[in-house]
Amino acid sequence: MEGTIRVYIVRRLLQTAYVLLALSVVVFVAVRAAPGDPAQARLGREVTREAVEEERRAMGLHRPIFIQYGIWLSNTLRGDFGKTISYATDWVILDLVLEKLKRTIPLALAALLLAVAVSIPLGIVAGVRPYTWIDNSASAVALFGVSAPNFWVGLMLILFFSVRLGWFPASGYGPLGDGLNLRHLVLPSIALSIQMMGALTRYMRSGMLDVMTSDYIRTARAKGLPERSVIVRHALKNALLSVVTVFALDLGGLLAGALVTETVFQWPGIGLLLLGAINNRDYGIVQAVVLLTAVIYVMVNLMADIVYGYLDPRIRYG
Amino acid sequence: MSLPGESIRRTARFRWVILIGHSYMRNRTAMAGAIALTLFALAAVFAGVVAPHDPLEQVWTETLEQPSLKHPMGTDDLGRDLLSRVIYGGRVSLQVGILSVGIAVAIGVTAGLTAGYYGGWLDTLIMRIVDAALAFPSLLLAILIVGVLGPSLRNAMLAIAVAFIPAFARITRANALSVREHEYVEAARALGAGTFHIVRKAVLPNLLSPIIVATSLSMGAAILIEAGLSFLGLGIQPPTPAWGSMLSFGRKFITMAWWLSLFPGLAIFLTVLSLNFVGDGLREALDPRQRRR
Repeated sequence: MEGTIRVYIVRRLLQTAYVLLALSVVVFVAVRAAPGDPAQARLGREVTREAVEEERRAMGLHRPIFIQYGIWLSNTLRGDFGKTISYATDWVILDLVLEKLKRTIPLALAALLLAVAVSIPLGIVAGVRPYTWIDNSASAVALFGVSAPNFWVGLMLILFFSVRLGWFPASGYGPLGDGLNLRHLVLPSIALSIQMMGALTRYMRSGMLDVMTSDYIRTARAKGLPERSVIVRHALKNALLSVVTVFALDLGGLLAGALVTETVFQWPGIGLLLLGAINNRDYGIVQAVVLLTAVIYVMVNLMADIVYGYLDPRIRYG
Repeated sequence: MSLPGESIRRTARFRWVILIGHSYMRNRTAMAGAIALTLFALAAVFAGVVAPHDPLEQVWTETLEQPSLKHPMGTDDLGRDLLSRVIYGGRVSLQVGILSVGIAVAIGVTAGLTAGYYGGWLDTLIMRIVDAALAFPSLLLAILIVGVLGPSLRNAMLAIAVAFIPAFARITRANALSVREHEYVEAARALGAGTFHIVRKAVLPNLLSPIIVATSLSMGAAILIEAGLSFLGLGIQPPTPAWGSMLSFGRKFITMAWWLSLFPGLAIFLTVLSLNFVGDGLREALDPRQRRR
């Protein structure tokens, strides 16, 4: 028993290492395939051809591509993404990205909590009482969540709650120097949460619906357990199981959605950073943001799978 | 070549389509989605006839006008008619939905069939690539590709296609694995049919249901991603109207012109909603366990 779970975890760890390596190749190749010469970009336009050639040598761009990748990978593993080229002062990219990540994480967490707080109870009730008004409203939430673009929802929230009612600020992170202001967090986190809210409601409902018609629930009812404990102690556990993995998968959507939501609300996190970097062709930042986001996503999925492996013995033997 | 069973098979296929059509048409939301989608598509294709104004024509005396009889959705900051721009914008979304998902289906299904039917090292190779690709959130992958290749409609479609290939490969492979073990495939092999023939005649038709459902749902997701990209300025470039980029102008004028933020987003929402209705309807109709009688 103990052995199988250990084998399972080791196998998943190896898989994860492979996926991360593949990600690094993709990001490296993608950025290298970008039009324009990195040395030229660093120096600007007003330089001689010789100066560019010299910079190319200094940056190691004359070496074979595999060696370049090796050097890049070893730098990246040590957290060295180089320095920014598009700012007035040259920032260390890792510092800059981590600084911006501190702004994005509260937004993502707030959206996550909101999505879970609404969709799990709603999905449970909808699954237990299918085809009632509450089930219909759950379906409406689910459909809205997967069909409405989150940046449009953000715009509608701004229109109503900022422009019309003036309850919440339309943009920004908080008064300068004051750190995070909760009033600023409300609208962006609602906008960001709706997609995950929709997906989770759907999974929770169908998971619950599946479980409620199974034999062991009938048994639990037949032996006279109160409905409440049938649902909470028997059904919920199994229904939640299937939600764990999809939950982790949807986190990718949440992270990517944060990039767009930040643009709507001018939230100064990694989304705005990435967009600025793309527009300024500052590819070091692009690499760092994309890699870090992907690594967070892969790690959360790894954790979800390990939790899943503990909860459901069938998985370990798969 | 005509085998003795050919006409029987054709009749069976015909009855299958009728059965599914029947089941689909009983589903009210699915029908509403199909009708709405047809209307949107017709409006986009015949935009030149349907749109009341030229979507690019700037009237400097009519900038940022509220919705009125003359301009049902109002005008933008350059005095262009918003309704006409929304109608023309449908062309971009439609194109992205059909082309990028089409490419993803073609490549993904081929890869999935190869992996699932042949197995062996090819399977391992293909699925390792798919695993790595699935580790990227699709919007992030699309942003990376477009960010690197430069913003344009072609690059956006390419990026979206690439982002959707792994999902189709995985769905196809999973189903091919189970279909491969069925008796009728074995029977075909015993009769001496070649691999290509078996895959095309026996395996592929039985994979159609999940692929069709995934296609319609992916189209909605693809349109959402394209809208996101063009909202960020990474999609088709102005002055061509696209729903996402129109919304980014709506953001600029949000305190004075609510219509610029409302209508293009509503168009995206209704289109994707219709596609989801159609996808769910197809799922129910194609799955015998869920079929409505």
